[in-house]
Amino acid sequence: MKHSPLVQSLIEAFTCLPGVGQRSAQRMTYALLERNREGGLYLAESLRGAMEGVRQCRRCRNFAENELCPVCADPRRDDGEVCVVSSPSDVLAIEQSGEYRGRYFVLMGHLSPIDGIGPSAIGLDLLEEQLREGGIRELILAVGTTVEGEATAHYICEMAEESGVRVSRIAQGVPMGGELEFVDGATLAHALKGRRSV
Amino acid sequence: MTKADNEPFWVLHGRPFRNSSLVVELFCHSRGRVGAVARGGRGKPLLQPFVPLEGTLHGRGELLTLGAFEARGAAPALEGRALYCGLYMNELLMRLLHRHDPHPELLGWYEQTLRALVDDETPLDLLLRRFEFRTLEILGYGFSLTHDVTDSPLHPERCYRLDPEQGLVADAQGFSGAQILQLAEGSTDPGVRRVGRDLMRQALAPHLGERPLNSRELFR
Repeated sequence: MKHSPLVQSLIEAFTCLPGVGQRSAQRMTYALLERNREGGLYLAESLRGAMEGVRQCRRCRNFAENELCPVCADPRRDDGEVCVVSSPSDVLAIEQSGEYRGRYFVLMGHLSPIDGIGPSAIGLDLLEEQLREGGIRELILAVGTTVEGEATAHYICEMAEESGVRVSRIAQGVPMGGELEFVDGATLAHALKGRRSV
Repeated sequence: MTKADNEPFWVLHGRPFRNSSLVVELFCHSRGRVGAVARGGRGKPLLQPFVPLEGTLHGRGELLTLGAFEARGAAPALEGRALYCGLYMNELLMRLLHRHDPHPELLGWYEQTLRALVDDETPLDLLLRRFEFRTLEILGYGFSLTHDVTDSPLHPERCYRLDPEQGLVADAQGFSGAQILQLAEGSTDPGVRRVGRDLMRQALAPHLGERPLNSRELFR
């Protein structure tokens, strides 16, 4: 059986979501058409609103609805401290820790030459510009510890060296409330290397 | 063969798949480059480039399934520039190797070069040049640095250009014979190293196609 054109186009539209194939898309389409027209219209409005209204913050590249995101626009935040993270969800995680009063720089990815993601694709040219402008005292690298994360961190270190800005990296080690025997070898090795006197 | 036990391999690249899985490109001892799905692979810190691994691969066709795996020795601790070099080597292999085309000798050479990037005193760029040269040789695209296409020894005072299909051809202009000979001896002179870089770029170009190697951007 062939779907009517409108139904078919809705099914195709759903498949643009990650993890949604033909079958799931069909199920979603029928669910909305059969039982939840109101929800479908709400989805359509929110989608349009977000796709047209959300852009990237001019300063930190996080998602924002204005020129600046709420963090960058907040005068109480310390502009001299910049925490470099890979994704908006990392910003959320650090914000929830409640410890940090500086601002962020969101890479939206990490260096991955094989995927064709070079320095400018993750906004490092913008970060370099900001380093050169001055005003940044410290860069805090909070990128992942994968190979790509390490490469990204090293690249940023080289960039910051040229402008003489202090660079630090968040500590790696034993999680709070964690027992040593369940921590993997590589993490323990890092934890030992990064030990501090008490 | 649908299952290989304890196949030694290195991860060349991984990308997220579904919620917690990875699609990895592996460079295996007996199967060459293969693509495989690693279920729950994002929660496994071992499953990364530059860690020597061994494990089981199931299935047939383009995309295999990676079963249990474990480390088979210490990982070379690549940092900074050496890490960029490793990424460059991985990108090169991704572009040069066809899937399911085994090259056990190249795997050994890859491993040796990764370790040399960490332990060896040799400048990194020389290690990369040797890797490129040997890789082309193993893949059957090698050429001589001491003899030209007519099999006569290079003359230090003549110039040569590279025909990537055949080898060095005597020409009115191009690379200096003396510098190529120094290159073959492993000279560390900056001029000779530049010749090495340009020569290898020309040698690799026809096999890489239109797209440039992105890792080159990392070396500022």
